[in-house]
Amino acid sequence: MRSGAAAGHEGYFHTSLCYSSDEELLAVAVPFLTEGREAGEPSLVTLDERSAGLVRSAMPAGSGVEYLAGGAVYSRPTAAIRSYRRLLAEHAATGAPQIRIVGGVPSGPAWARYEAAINHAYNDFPLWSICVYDQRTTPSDMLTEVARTHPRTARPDGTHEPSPTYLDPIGYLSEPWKADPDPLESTRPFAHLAAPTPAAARSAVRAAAVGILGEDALEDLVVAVSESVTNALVHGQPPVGLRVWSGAGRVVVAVSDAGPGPKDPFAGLLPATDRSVGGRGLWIVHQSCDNVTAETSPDGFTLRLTSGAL
Amino acid sequence: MVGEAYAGLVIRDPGRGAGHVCLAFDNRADLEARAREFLAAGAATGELTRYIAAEEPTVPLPWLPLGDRYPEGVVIDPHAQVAVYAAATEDAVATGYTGLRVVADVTSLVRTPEQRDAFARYEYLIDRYIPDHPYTAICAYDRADLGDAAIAELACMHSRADARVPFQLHACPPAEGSAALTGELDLHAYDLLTTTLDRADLPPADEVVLQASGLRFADHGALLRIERYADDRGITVVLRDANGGVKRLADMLGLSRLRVEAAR
Repeated sequence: MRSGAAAGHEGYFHTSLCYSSDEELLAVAVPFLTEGREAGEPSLVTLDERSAGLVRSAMPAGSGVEYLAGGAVYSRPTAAIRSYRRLLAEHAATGAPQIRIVGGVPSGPAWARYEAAINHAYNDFPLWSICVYDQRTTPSDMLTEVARTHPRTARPDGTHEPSPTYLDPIGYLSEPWKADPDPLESTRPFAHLAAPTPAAARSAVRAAAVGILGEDALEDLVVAVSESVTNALVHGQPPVGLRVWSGAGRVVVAVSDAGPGPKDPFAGLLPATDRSVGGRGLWIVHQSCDNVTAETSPDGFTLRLTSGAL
Repeated sequence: MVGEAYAGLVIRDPGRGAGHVCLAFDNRADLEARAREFLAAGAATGELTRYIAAEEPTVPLPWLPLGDRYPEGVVIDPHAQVAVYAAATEDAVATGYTGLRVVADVTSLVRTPEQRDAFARYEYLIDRYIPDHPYTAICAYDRADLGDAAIAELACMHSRADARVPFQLHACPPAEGSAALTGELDLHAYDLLTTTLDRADLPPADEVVLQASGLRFADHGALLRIERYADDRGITVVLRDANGGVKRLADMLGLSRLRVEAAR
């Protein structure tokens, strides 16, 4: 039996809290975590160091709350979903009636998409999370997306109200991506290949990235680009094209084809384990470079991958 | 008589670090020029040298006609073939040569899939045999006759391939693994990878270790092919000394029959 406001709810109880002072954050987080521990529910905190410190010092010693390093969990949206699903499955396997999390994610379009996707991705688990956003530092357009991706908003008095602008994840993720081109794209590409093989794409990216990215980041970007080109060749429509830019400490790669792009709104965010073998390409792409955006136009579908200094 | 049986080839050439070379040739003059140079280098160090081909060479070469022993369309016996070469090398040494060096145009022995199945297995076996014996050889294949795809099936079983081939599965010191997997694995290699693993006769074991320090790249589809190979046989395949990209990709996929160990 789940305790608190999520009692009787099945699956993921996803709430947001937009606070404007440390006191407001603690007024919600401390009772939430305390009640969770009193009910014997795993209660976790994944916040940046400063906010986690505030919560820790406000909680009684030996409360049993677990503090996870937010930075590691939230390096990339798809990797965060993978880590969390594993963590949640471990807790669920021990018979936890509910898992409580106070978490915070970075701002930006990729993380807004993450917030939408997890309504579906975590719905296999009895999870109650409060995603906290500091109104003093969060851009206003991100706060707009927070309201659209969280079905409920927490109030400092412990109550919740439905978010009037909430959009279900399929609707949200089917919208055009909110991403501007990288300024490097207005410069001359380092390489521009028509109908590249995956091997030719890898060579071009290695040549562009050497000296700019470290060894691990370079190898991972090569994986991301090879998987993107393979995906375009197998699932897209010709012609497939590749452009690579480098500069300002980063490498940007655009992989395009003439097709409409993936139909699955969760493509890239969740593994397609229930589909044919090999349907995991985009999911790997999203975990193997620092940022991914996608764009559909009358000309086709373009995936833009970036690694290095964003 | 040493050499009559040479259909395939074997080569040990410590100076170059590659004793078993696959050569895809575009015309006979190129092959003969390469053979003259290669065999002359062996003769200079006291090796017995042989040029084995169906056609008589147009330049002076120590020719043995391939057709004398192998009728058109024959499917070789891989293990018997290795035994023949081993015996021939021992004969050469017993006769006072320092070793045996061969160039063989074996195009006529690999035209059908059934022939290639047997010959590729032989190439794999002989590649394991070479490092410890005084052999050096170039196995030559006519590109116009066979095509790149058929040649790739054989080239990828050599320590060194002067042919278009995405990857190689070849011999390595036993302490490092059952074989070495080098090159790059992507969708253009999937089917060849499956065929090659099937043909390789890797030693039976619950855990088969492949030395992967020369594996520059593998995509997720290739890792799933290796996992399927392992699963079909109820074994675990280990890619040892792999690069970090391959290791992180494997971790993402959560494979159960393929374990990737990163280079330290």
